[in-house]
Amino acid sequence: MSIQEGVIAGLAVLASALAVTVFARRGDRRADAVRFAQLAELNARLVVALEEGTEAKQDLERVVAERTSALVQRDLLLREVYHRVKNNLQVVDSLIVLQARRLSDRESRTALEALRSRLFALGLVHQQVMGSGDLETFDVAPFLEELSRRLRDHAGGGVGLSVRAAPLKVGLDFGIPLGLLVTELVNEAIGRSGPGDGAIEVELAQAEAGELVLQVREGGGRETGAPRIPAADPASLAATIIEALVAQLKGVLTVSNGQGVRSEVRMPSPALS
Amino acid sequence: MSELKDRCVAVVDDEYLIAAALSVQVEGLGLTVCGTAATAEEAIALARDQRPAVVLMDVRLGGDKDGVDAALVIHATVGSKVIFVTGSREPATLARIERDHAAAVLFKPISDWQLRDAIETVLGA
Repeated sequence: MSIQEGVIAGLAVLASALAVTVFARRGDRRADAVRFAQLAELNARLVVALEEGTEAKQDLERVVAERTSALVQRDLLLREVYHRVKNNLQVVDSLIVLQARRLSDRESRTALEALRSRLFALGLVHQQVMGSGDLETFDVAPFLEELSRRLRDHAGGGVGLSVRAAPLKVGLDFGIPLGLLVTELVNEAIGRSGPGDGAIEVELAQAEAGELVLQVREGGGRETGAPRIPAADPASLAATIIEALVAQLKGVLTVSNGQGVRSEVRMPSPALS
Repeated sequence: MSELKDRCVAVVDDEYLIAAALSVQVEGLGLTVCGTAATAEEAIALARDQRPAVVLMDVRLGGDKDGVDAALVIHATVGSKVIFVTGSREPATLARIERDHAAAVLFKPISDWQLRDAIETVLGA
């Protein structure tokens, strides 16, 4: 018999006993003695049931404490893993810096600097997850803001920048390709801009149901003929990376060339599992 | 108290490769690296010995004390300007740096341009 059943049965017998007691008020003493014995037994059963209840509650509290500590442990481990990943990326970054110093030609060194900014984007995504409450998802808006600003600062040269992004919770599966894609588009835009040009604009907006639109626009301002459009130049590494990431994000890329180059990627909004 | 060495920079990081990379970046700016250290104790000893004008200081270091502890001592005893170089954006770390009168804070990875900007600002101040 479970505790609840015991208590309910005990209460039922108690109630009927009380009822009988009322009706038997004028009964003889022998009947009173029987009733008393019954009540005493019921009382004893209730005491046992209550003790069992207390024990069950303590068992539950123990289980909850164990689960809580397992969750704390999981958070610690995840944080440690993310920290290791980020640290390893920094060591790889240092190796690239050391390698770059050994190279004399400018083109190779520029290529390695570009590699560094891609690694940085990866590291920044991990940093976002580390700082989030659930260690799984993060808001893409401050991430894009910081990523774009750091890419601009990294390049130096004081190009203007404005970032507008709608708040959107994303996981690593979406955040990593998106971060790398923005890195390519922004670096291309920075590469084509100079001091005195208009600001580079980065925008991520929710379009109609379930669709996201990423835009990277150059301010333009200089008449430099037809600027190089990365996606149209299959020889460039940036073009290869952009094509792969747009495909991974199930998106469509449009590049237009008016006042500076404007790249737009339309992609489905990520579904968080 | 002897003068700080004009163009001497000390690099503190418990990852030796990161310290090596930072060192070549510093040298690329035409400055001298007067030593690297991996723990707070080593950093303090290095600073007392070499009297660097600038210390590039990582926050998380091997050992009991971190970069913030080392920076407090170095700032007080040697007077070097301390630029924190950290990979962590954790609020607790940033709050600790804040209380330490940091000359500047840089987040890894660091470009040559950012490093030059920070060191010039600190030395010019």
